Amino acid sequence: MNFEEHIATITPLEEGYLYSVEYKGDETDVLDILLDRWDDTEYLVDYFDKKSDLLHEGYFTEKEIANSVGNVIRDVNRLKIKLAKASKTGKLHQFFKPYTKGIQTRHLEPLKKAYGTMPRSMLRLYAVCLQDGSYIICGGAIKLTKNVDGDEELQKERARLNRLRDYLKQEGIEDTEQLDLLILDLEEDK
Amino acid sequence: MNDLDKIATKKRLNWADDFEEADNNIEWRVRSAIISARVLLFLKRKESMDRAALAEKMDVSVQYLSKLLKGKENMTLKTITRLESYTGLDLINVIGENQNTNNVKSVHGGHHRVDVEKQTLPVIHRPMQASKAKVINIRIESKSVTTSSESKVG
Repeated sequence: MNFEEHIATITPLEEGYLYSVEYKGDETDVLDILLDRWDDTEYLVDYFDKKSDLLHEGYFTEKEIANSVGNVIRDVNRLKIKLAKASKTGKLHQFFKPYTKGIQTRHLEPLKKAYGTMPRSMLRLYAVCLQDGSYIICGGAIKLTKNVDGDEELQKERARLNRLRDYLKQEGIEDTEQLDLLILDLEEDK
Repeated sequence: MNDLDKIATKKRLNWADDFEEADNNIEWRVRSAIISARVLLFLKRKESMDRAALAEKMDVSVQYLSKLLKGKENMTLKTITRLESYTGLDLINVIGENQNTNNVKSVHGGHHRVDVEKQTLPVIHRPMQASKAKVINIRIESKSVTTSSESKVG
């Protein structure tokens, strides 16, 4: 997954309700890739080790890295359960929030973002909700800090949003002009 | 079927089939991942020991060690102890003879974030001599524990 990625297909996870984007060059859809990465100790160790200068003002001990790996693995497994239950029971809408406020769409709902299942979770999932209530997961990230990596994350997800809009248009799904960035929050379990 | 189903070229409708099992295993998986992460970081930092060297010391294949370090294996105490021996890392602690087991909190934190480092048990700082050995505070749930001498009598 990178800024040059292009959409290969949209993979149904729950027909008529939950979908996940597959990018060209990937063997599977983005949700599958993210859930696998976030449950992979070696990937997480490398990730936190490389990013450690962003944390604790440049000081991130090996024990803290190991604990963060454990926390992400706990988070992703709970996120899996919550996402699966919400999609099976048609309750995904309970977890989604607008990423930016004040923008209403006529035919397509804006991009949405899912947080991990616990306070201070670093896991994010991004999706688009269509007018018919179906959701398309198009990205995700481990967010380490509020600001340091926030801009890059937002830029990347906006780029994905634009690609998804173009792809949907190309596939004959119209009225995508109002598509915008929103927030999905799995903490909102009402 | 909506418009998205019409344009989809493949489906992955079984995506959540094994999630319930993952949830049931999460706490030991977290601990296994933390232990694996510590060893992986040790290997990244330690120029004099790579994965092959550690595998050789442990008398296991590199493939087996790699499988362990994925953090998805239910490692035995024997395996963890061997990892500690060859890396010098303190990966798991045991209850000391002066410790009250009532002070040991449950590993399971429910849905609360837990600091596993703070939940590990104190280390025995000195080797226990056979002549001074006392019964160590280990919680054994089994109601009937038979010693080897008892079984010979029986």
